Amino acid sequence: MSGLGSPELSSETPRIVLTGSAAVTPFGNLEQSLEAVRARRSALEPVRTFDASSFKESRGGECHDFDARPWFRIPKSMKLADQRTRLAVGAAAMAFSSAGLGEDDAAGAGVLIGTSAHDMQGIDVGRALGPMSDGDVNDIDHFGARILRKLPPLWLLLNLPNMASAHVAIELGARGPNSTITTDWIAGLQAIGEAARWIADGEAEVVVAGGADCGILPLLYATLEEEGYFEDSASPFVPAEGAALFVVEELEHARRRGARILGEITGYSSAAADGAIARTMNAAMRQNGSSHVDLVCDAALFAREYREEEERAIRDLFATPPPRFECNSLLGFAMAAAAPIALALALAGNTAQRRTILVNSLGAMQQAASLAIISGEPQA
Amino acid sequence: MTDVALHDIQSRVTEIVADALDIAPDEVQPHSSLLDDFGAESIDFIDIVFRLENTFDTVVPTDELWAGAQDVDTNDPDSLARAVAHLRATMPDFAWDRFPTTPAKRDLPRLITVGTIAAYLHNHLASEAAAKR
Repeated sequence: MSGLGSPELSSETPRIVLTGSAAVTPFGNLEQSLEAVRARRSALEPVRTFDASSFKESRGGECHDFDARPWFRIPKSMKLADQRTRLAVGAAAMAFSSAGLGEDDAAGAGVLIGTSAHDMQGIDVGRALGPMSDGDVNDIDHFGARILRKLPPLWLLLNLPNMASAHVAIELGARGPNSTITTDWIAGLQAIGEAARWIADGEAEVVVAGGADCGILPLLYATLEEEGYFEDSASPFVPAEGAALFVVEELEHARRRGARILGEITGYSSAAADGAIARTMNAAMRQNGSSHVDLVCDAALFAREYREEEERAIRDLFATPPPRFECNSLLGFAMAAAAPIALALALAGNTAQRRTILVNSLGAMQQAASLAIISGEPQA
Repeated sequence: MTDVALHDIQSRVTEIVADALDIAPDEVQPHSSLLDDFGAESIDFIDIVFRLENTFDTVVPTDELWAGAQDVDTNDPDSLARAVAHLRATMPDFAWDRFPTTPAKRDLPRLITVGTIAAYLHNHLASEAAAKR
C-alpha cells in the first residue's frame, strides 16, 4: 500500500480499522439481518417490483420494508435517487452513527461506494422507444426525436453510477474525497479496500465505504437468464438488493476519539484474469502477515467456474480449509453489495473475539478481490 | 385538446407540481411560488415541463410560465413592468412582500405558480385549438 514498487504493508503504514457498519437487506437492518441469517430464514420471495413470472427464476431478495424517506433532508431529492442510491443513503447514515460520528464530524469524511450500475430504468427506456411502427430505430433523427420527447429528463441523473456516492455525501455533509467503483460484483469489496488506501495515503481520516446495489431489474433478469445463470438448480442464483457500508478510519484517529473498533483491515488485493482469486487471497494473506484464517466469507459463488476456481485456491493456500460463511443463499445476491453485506454480518457475529476473516468476491472476467480483516480491538 | 376548462387544467397542474416536488397536493395553492415556497430548482422545472408536455400533449416554454397568459417582451422594461403589475392585480394572495418592486429578469422564475402555469396552458391550448379549426 506504500507505493508502486512495494505493495506490502510496511511498519510505517498507518493501520486502518473499521469503526462503524450498517446494512440494509430484505430482513431489515444489520441486527435484524444477523438474527434472520442465524435462524437460517430465507428472504427469497416472488418479485413484487415487476412481473418476473416468465423468467426461470422469478424470486428475488427485495427490501420491501425499507423506507428511505427519513434519511433524506429534502423529500424531493428522492426523485433523483434510484433504489440502490436510496439504500446507500440509509446505510451510510446508520454506519456513520454506529461509529459514534455525528454531523460535526462529517466535513472531512470521504465517500467511496461500489455499485454495479445495472439499473437503466428499463421501463422508462422501453416506454420512450415504444413500438417502432412509425419509423426505423436505426434512423438517428427518429430515435433522437423519440428519446428527447419521451424519455424523462431526469433519466440520466438517476442512472449515473456515481449517484450513490454523491447523494450519500450530500445527505451526510461529507465533503472529503468522493468516488465510485463500478467493477460489477466485486465493486463493493473493492471500495472498502481502496478506502483503506485513501486513508493510508492521507487523503482522508474517515471514509464511508462499501457496496449498494439493486439486482431487482427486468433487464438484469433477462440478461442473467440469457447467460444461463438461472439454470443451476443446485445452487440457485437469485438477484437481490441491499447495501452495507462501513466507516473506515485510521487507527490512531479512532483511538483519539475513543471509538469502538470492529476490526482492522490487514490485507487487500484485487486482480483479474486467470487465477485472479488465488492471487488476491495470497496477497491479502501475505499483507496480513499470517496465513492463519478463522473464517472465509464468500460472495458470488453461483457460477460454477468461479466456485471451482475459489475451491482450488483455498486448497492450495490452506493446509486445513477454514470454516466458510455465506449468506447469499438466504438473502439473494445483492450484486456489488453482496460481499460487503457478508462482511458486515460476519463482523457483527464476531464482536468479542479477535478472528481473522478473509472476504472474497468474484465477478465476470474472473475479476476478484480479497480483504483480510482481524475482528475486534487491535493489539498494541 | 379543445376548450379544456381552466379549473381542470389547474387541478392537473397541481398534481404534477405536487408529485414532482414531493409535497402533498393540498399544500400547493394556486398562488404558491414553486421556487420560494417549495425550493424548486432548475432541474425541477425541467421535470415539471416534461410532465406538462406529456400530459397536455403540447410544447411548454419554461421561460414564459411566470407570465401566465400574457405576451411579454422581457427585453422591454415597460412591457415587463406592465406584466408584473397585471400579476399583482390578479394574484393578490401571492407573497408580494418578499418580491422586489422592480424585478430583474432573474427574479421572474420566482413568479411561477400553479396559477400562472394553468393560465399559460389554458390560453396556449385554446389558441392551438383555434388554429386547427
